[in-house]
Parts: sequence; C-alpha cells; structure tokens
Amino acid sequence: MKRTTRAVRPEDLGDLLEHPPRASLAFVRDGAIQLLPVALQYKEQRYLVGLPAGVESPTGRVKLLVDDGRWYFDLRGVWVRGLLKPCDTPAVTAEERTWFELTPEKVTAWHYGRMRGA
Amino acid sequence: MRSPGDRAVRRFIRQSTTARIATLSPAGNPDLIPLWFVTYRGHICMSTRSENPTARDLIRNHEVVLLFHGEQSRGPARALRVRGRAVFRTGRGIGIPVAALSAVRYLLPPGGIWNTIINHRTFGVNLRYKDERAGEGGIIEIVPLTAEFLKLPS
Repeated sequence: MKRTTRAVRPEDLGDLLEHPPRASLAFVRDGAIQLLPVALQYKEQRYLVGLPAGVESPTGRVKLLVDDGRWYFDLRGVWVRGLLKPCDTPAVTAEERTWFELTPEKVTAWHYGRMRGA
Repeated sequence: MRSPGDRAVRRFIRQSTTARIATLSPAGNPDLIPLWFVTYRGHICMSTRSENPTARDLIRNHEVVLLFHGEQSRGPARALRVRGRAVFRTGRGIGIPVAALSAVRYLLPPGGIWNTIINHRTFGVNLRYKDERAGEGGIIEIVPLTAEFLKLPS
C-alpha cells in the first residue's frame, strides 16, 4: 500500500500553468505516435493549446505535458489527457497558430519537493 | 531531418536536462512523461519502473518520440525531436553504468548537492516513496533513428 505521494492538485501549480516554460503535446496519427512543442494558455482552468499553423488537427485523445525543474526536488509538472476542439485565438500572438481547447478527462500533477505521507 | 550522430544534435541533447518521451499505449492512446536521461554507447537511457505506463507501452510498441528543449543551451529557442526505437531492460549490465552516469549528471554537480541539502528534511519520505513504487527497476534504452530541430512557440 502506498503511504507516500508526490501528487499535488493542478491548481497548486497555477504559476507553472500560467507561465509554462515549455509545453508538449502527444497524439496519434495514422497509428503512429506524434509529439510537438505547443503554446499553452491556462485561463480560468481552461487549457488552450496553440499548434503551429499548417499542422493537421489531431483527432482522438491527446496528452498535454507541462513540466519544469532541473534538480530532483524541483521537478514538477502537470499532464492532461483529453480531447481537443477548435477555439478562438485567445490573445494576440507573434506568430500564426491554430488554437484548440483541451477538454480534460484526467489531470495529474506532481511536485517532488512536496512529497509527503499520504 | 538530421542524423542522430550530427554534432549539433549531440550537443543539444547534452545541453538538455529532461527528455519528454511519447509512446503509444496498447489501447492506441498517447502516453507522455518527462524523464531524466543519460547517453550510453550512443543510446539514450532513462531509469524507470516496469509498472510505469511508458515502460508497459514498450512491450507492444517500440516506437518512441522524444522532445529535448536544450534547457542549458544559450542558442536560439528551439526544440529537438528525436524518433527512435526503445526497449525496457532490467539487469545490472545496463543498470549500473546508467545509474553511475545519472548520479554524475544529476546528483553530484554543485546544484544537485545543494538541492539535496536544502531538502534534507524530506529524506525519509523520499526513501519511503522510492521503496513503495510498484514494479521492477529498469532502463528504457532508445536507439535514436532521426532528429529534427523545431521552432518553439514565442
């Protein structure tokens, strides 16, 4: 039985989600796994994902990952599994992107520096 | 598209501290996690447990995609995408050298030692956490096949 956990609530990592140093999106196309760096805007608990213009819209489930940290106790992150649906461009951006809202089916967040007894 | 042996590719991987690894689950869904890594004999190696979904995915499908962000790079903002084939291995043959290289890369540099010192109060709970993890310890060993630099979102 697990007595310890590194799990935190996604809202505990609000600073990471609002200012993500990097975000990555995995999806499946033609039966093969794909992975892209993406733009993320997290507003009012909505996950808005910007894909490079020209990238064909993913279908099916996707997995978004936001992570940060160099050393062990700094490692933290959030992953979101769900479906994408097109949305309006959330803000003025310097480059052309196609924006989607990720509707979460499951969200998991962790922070090694906040490990504790469950 | 570049060769994984390309000098710029190898340098960018060295300048990256975490790799994001994407795999395909048996149900056909994407999995994606960040992991520390080292390079050993030209392969990219990551420590994890056999019960990690990413390790389980590799039983059925060996195709992986990695994303490196060159966290320690001072060059232009870009990412490196590497496609490869991976297996999950257990045993000391690969486990010991990878553990040693990982310690040198992540635990023994001054930043790693300092990070450990300032978090010394969590030693006990951290040891319990490692002891409670399910599955056998092992290494995801990836043979890189292709590499390409990607522009990052601004």
